[in-house]
Amino acid sequence: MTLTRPKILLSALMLGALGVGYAGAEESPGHEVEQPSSLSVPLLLDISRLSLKNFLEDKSALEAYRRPDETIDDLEDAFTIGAIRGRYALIWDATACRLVGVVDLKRSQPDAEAFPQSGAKNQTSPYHLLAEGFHPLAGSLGAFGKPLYFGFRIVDGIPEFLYYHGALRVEERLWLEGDGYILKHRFTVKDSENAILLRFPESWKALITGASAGTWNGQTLSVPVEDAAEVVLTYNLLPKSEREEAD
Amino acid sequence: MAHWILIFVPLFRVTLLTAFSQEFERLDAKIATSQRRPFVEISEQDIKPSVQAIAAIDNTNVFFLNKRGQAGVAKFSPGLSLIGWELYSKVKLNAIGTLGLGPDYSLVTASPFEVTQAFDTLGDGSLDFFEGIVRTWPGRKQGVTITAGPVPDTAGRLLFALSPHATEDGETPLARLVAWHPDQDELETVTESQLLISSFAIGPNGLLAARLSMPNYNEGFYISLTELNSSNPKAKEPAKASLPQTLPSLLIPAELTGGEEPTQICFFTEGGVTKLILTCPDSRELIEVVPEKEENLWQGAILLRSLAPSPIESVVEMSTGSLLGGGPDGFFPLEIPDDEFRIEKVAVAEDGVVLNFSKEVSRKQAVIDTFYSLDSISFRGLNKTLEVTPVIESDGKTVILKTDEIGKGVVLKVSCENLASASGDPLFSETVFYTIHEG
Repeated sequence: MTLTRPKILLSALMLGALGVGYAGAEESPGHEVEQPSSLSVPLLLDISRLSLKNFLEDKSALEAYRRPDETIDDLEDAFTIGAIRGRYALIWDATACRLVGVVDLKRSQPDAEAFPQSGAKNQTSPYHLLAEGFHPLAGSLGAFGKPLYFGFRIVDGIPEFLYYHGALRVEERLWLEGDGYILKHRFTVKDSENAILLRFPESWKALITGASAGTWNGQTLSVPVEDAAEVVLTYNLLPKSEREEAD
Repeated sequence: MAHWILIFVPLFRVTLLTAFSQEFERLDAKIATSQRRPFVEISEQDIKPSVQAIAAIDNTNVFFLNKRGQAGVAKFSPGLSLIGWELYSKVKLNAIGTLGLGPDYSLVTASPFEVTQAFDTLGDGSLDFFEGIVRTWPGRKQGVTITAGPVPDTAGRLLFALSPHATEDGETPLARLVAWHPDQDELETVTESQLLISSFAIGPNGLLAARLSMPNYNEGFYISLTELNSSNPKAKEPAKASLPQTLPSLLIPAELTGGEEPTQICFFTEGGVTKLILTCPDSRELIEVVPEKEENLWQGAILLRSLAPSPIESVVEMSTGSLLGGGPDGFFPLEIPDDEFRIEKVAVAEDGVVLNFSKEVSRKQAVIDTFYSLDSISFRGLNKTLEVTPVIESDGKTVILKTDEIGKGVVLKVSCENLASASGDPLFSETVFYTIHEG
């Protein structure tokens, strides 16, 4: 007999629980929430830990969740990060120590006009990005085995996840800018003695609009050792069809 | 007008978790050695916090967890009226309903999958560093989860309960209460139970009070009282011998809780007696248990202490006998009105059952035997109603229900129907229970 907590399916229910997107008021005593107006300023983030049904599909990405009996674990205590009233929510998981998904809250809303009789089945997938392959740092010298989560900290309102990947000590930050569609993804490998390699799925690479350091070779960003202390990736999460309108 | 509170954490309260054995530096390497924190501004606010767990800092300040899993700090007057509160962290943790205090104003929480210690490294009144201090345990990959805790003990350990699991094939799955200490590499099993431990508290002298979950049994709710072995956290190998078993000690009848499950447990002291209070948020009832040790077994009285004005999820003793409750509608001092007519104590003597009332009883009514009923409910299913002869003691507040039929291995149900005080007040609760083990 085990105590089980209900795992939350990623749905409008969960998005409400996130406190992001179109969700309601925060329980907080008497403070006005100020939204930064500048496009380059990190947005105020809502950070929650939730247990979610494992929504990953890629076999390699699922390896981190495989149990001895070959079944797949759920996402236990995953971090959900979103800008208040923002469109996108990020899901970072401590078991795999990686960003496992980006949810488009707009897509997860039932499209009542398009499918008035349909119910949930005809909703498009809410996942804008899903983790594929092994951990982005898995190809770096010194990275071996499964990443080991240590903890996280809040730096100026931004979550920074701390973990080991083999001999690498990694700090990974995530935040949103602009109107919530610019994702910043910062990797720091502490005291690295070697260049680091960051590999991203093709669908992710297509949204990356800039890297603060390193050179691309296909889907792999090679960051020289002198820059391993900080490399920041910029994603434009807006679908291309909407970018011009946003600009 | 803003109020200013001084958060002051006495070091003697918790001595654990000082070994912060990690290589990731906290933001502020200069951890203040002073026990005094900067002032935290408490603004007036109309919103009441939703409370699911409370940890007392001192007589008038508490940390708490709200229903979203956010930590907060609240200040009270000496009479436990809420002065104000602030969030201590906006991060929403997936926390089960217990909150532990660590040093450096850190807080310890648990989800089913992780024990987390959170620090305010900048000393600015906001938690900013969250370490997953325990993420692996026996059976973790087989679905074993944390079901209760974490609770710090006096040996500097953190205790938490794991769901039932078998360590070897063919063994009976057992729930385990385990202890984590920063100086030990492995978790130490403190006690085992065949039933899932849904909440627990550690009382004086290491007495463990645990709620044992038995979902298919709806006649009552089991409480276990277990004396834990003393621990030496410096020992490299945990003591293996004589592991205490957490067995059901007391049955809280469902009729006393309004059929609702007691959730959280809190030790407190009243009139020099160590007692337990259990919260039943769904019925708003607060159940009082007075544990007594008879030879090597724990038994005792169970009574309805009060009906809260609102659901109470968590109770903490702020100072001796002074209880603060919290729930979805905020904080409430859990006082018992001085003028309430109630059964304060029930005890079993050689010649019958002794009832202590808060006020003098109506002498005219109290000697009438039909005003009482004494039922003996046997653990073996043999129930009977006992004949009693009521005798009023000279203080007017004590009634002995004389009988020579009280056996062992029974739960006594005592009802005082229609009994009023000398001034005509009705009883707050007419029924109390007493568990007697076979010994």
